[in-house]
Amino acid sequence: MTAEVEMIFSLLLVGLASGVFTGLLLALISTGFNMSLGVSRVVNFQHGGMILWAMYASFFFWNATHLNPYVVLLIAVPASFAVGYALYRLLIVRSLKTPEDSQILFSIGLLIAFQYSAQFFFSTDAHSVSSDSLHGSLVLGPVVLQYGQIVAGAIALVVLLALHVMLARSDLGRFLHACAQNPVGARVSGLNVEHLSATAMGLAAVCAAISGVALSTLAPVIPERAFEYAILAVVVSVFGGMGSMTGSIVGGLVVGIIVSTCQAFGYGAVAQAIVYALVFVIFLVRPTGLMGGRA
Amino acid sequence: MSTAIPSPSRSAPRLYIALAIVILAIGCVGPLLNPYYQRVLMMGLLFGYLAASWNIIGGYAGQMSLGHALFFGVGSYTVALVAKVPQVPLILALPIALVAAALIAWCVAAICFRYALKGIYFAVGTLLLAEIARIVAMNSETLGRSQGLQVPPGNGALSLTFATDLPFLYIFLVMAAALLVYTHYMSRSRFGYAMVALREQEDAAQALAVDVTQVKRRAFVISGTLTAAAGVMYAGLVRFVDPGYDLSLGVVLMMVMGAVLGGRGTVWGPFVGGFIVVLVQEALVMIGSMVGTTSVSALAQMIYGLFFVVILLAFPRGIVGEILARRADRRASLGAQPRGGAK
Repeated sequence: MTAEVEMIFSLLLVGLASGVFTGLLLALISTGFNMSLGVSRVVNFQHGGMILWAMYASFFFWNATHLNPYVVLLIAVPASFAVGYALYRLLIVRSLKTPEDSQILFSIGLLIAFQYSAQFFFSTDAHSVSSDSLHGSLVLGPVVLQYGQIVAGAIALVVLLALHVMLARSDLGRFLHACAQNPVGARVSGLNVEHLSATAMGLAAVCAAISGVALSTLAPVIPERAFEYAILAVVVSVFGGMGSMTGSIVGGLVVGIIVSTCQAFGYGAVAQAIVYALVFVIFLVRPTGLMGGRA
Repeated sequence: MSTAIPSPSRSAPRLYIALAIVILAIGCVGPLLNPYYQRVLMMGLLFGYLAASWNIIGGYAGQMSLGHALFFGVGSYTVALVAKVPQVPLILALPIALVAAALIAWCVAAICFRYALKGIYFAVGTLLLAEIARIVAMNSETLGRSQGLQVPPGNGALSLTFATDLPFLYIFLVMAAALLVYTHYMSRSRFGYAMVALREQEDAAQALAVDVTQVKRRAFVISGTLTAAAGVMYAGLVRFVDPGYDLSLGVVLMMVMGAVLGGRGTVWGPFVGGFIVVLVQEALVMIGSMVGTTSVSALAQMIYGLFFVVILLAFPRGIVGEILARRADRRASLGAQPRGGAK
């Protein structure tokens, strides 16, 4: 009996530990989604497409140079910012005049285009990044953590902290807050709301790119992932609270721990269903999310 | 159907004439086509029907459900499960699926609308439910896991087994025609006007004694049940149930796209739109195979996604919606009385 309890306890510990690292990554994905929702007022399903393209960028970079895949961020970060900014300015801004349900369909359309263009160029074959510098694992008692996972979580944490500092301390951060809280007021005070909204989309794309590169070191890269990550971004954001960064982080950690714990106990296949069901319930009883501020 | 408001049917004779022409045309041309074009015609009718059944909740009542794959899947999985029982005619799946879908739809609607889910919350909420159903189906032994289930051929028409696929063309034609007539009368009934009222101004509709929750619930149940009927017939035709298709967002997007392209909240729009969506997809696949690209379907899907984006920007009202709006404008500028009902 005690052996069983010990076993369950150690599985819980494994789930918790790897859940925290997965959760940080989810938090980063969701922060990007939340930023575009809060500031640019875009329901950003194409976030998943951005993540997918970053995963491919990371794979091809690694395949060509065999350097650490994170080096690709030197190119991917500015490139994704440019793509996000341009996408908003050229395309998405036009969709904002249509009703809300059309906007949702619009961004799903973009997601489809992103996903299948990746499938067209790179086929449905799974590609894996297996960089030597990320091999091996850290063993702490019953808990085994892969280095890849630790590095991914740590990078997500650093980016989240940097974003937080930027949002809380810098002028740009204050402008973005102004746009999110009252776009008309922001415009009256002389802020260029279109530019700031596009900047937020660019930052969202940067979040997607960084999390995409990190994800490529953890899981095989296949086009169908785009849709899965898009749903995860929505789900985590709703879970924590739409439009709030603290919400994203809490939501990411909770979802990450639930998924990892389910995996540790051997229910990995239904982990997503459990999370979806939980989020559906949260939708009903607390539509503003766990840390919900503004609805 | 609820009691029709007086003077509903000034356009009823025209509806029946137009419908008769379409039925005659498809009924006569159908048998002459080769099997491939027959299949395209069938899918066109099927997706016209599906788009029209989505249109009831998504178009008229304005609640964007992304979870209709759930009902399509209820229909097709019921067929596969009934086929497992020996000596039972497959057609029995139809009433079972309709009852099951109506019950599920009622429960989903009761929960969602009780808590006033709307906009993106309703869209994502229903999508999550369909995704849960897909994950459950993909992990359940009885539901065939990710390989899906085969529906073996049965005996005779009662098991939906025919020598050719042609009878399915007539089945889909009859279903589409029946739904068209139903939509026509529904859109001019008290229920139809209640849906439009709550779509345009929910608070105002409520103030005018429209029981908003009840109307939405009813629209969702009707829409979901109709979708399940299509699922049954589709599984009868292809004889295979695949969670990656039947329960996927892809099927829902075809429905939604058909309705959006044709015109949400119009009678004819979804049928036109659903047909065009199928034609476009088939044409893309055909052009791709002529050019000889290896990943044809991926390219087709990519263009399909962009098509979606362009249509939403260029024709937010849809084809039929645009025609009706222009006609209403012209009448108004001529000083004639605008016709009611058509939006």
